[in-house]
Amino acid sequence: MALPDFSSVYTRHSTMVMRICKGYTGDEDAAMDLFQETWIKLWENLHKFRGEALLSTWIYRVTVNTCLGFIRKEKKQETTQLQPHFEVADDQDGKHKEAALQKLHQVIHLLAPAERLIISMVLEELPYQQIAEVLQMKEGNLRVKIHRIKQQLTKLYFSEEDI
Amino acid sequence: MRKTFDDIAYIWKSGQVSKLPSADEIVSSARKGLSKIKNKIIVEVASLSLALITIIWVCSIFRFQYLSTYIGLGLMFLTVAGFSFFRIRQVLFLRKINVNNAPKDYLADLKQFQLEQKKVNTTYYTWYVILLNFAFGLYFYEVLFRSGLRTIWQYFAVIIYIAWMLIAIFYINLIKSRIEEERVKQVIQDLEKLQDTLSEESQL
Repeated sequence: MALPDFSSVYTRHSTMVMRICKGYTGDEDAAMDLFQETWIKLWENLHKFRGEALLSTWIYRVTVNTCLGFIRKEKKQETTQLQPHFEVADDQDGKHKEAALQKLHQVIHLLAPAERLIISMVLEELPYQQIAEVLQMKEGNLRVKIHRIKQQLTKLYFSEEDI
Repeated sequence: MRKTFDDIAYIWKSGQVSKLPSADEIVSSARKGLSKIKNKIIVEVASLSLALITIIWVCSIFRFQYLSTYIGLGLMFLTVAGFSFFRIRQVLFLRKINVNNAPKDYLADLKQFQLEQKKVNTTYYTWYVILLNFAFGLYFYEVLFRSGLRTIWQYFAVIIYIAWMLIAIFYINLIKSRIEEERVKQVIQDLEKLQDTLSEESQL
C-alpha cells in the first residue's frame, strides 16, 4: 500500500486535530503545543500506518494518545514554539460566537481529561463505531459513557448560562 | 426554549481555526526534535568517551604505587558508563513507546516509563553519586594523602572535595530525590485516573 503524502494528510485533518487539542486543553497556547506534538508524532509514524483502519481513525488515535500523554509533560516544551493564529472576529455576531465557544471550552475543561477527548470526537461528528475503535472500547459501553457525558456537558453549559 | 446538546454541537462547529502552521513548519520542528534527541545521546556517549580517555591518559602518564588507585580509576569509568547506559536506555525507551497503541496500552507504557525514570533519577543516581565519590576517594588516597600533603592548595583541594561530596550526597541528592518522587507520584496518579476513565466499567 502506498503511504499517504504528509502534506495532503495535514491539509485535510489539521483543523480537526486542532479542535480536539483545543477541546482537551481549553487554552490556545497549550493547544498549539499539543497540536504540534501530535503532528510531529504523525510525521514520525506515518510509515507505520498499515491501512488496516481508516486514516482518520489512526490520526484520532495518535491525537488521543498525545493528549493523554501531555499530562507527564512539564511546562518546558521541547518543540519549537510556533505562534497560534486564531481568527479574531470583529463583527458583533462573530464576537458573540467567539464568547459562546470560549465558554464551551471552559465547560468542557470541567470534565475529566478522557471525557474531554471523547466529547471532542463526538462534537467532531466521528461515528461511535470509529470512536470505539480509536479508544479500543466496546461500542455499547461507549454509547452509555457518551450519553452521560452529553447530559453532563449540556447541564453544565446551560446552567452556567442561567447564572 | 429547551436547550439541547445540538446547540452545543452548533457552537463547536462555529469555531474557526485559521492559519495553522504549514506542513513544512511541522516537518522542520519534527526534524529539530529528532536532532535534539540525537544530541542528547551524543552528549551521553561523549561524556562516557571523555571519562574513558581521561582515565587512560592518567594511567599512561602516571605510575601509581597502590592498586587502590587503579581500582578507583576503574570504578570511576564503570560508574560513568553504567549511569550513561541507563540514561540512554531511558531516551530509547521513550522513543519506543508506540503511539499507535490503544490508549489504555499507551498509558500503561507511559506509567512504566515514569517508574523507570524515577528509578534512574533516585536509586541509580544515588548509587552513581556514592560510587563516584568512593572512586575519587580511592584515587585521592594515593595522590594526595600517601604522597603527603605539601602545599596549602592540596589541603584546600581535599577540604573542597570532602565538602562537595557531603553536600552532593546528603543535600542535593536528597532534595532531588524527594522532588522526583513527588512528581512521579502525581503523574502516576493522573495516568491511573485516565486509565480508569477509559476502562469499560467506569461510571461518570
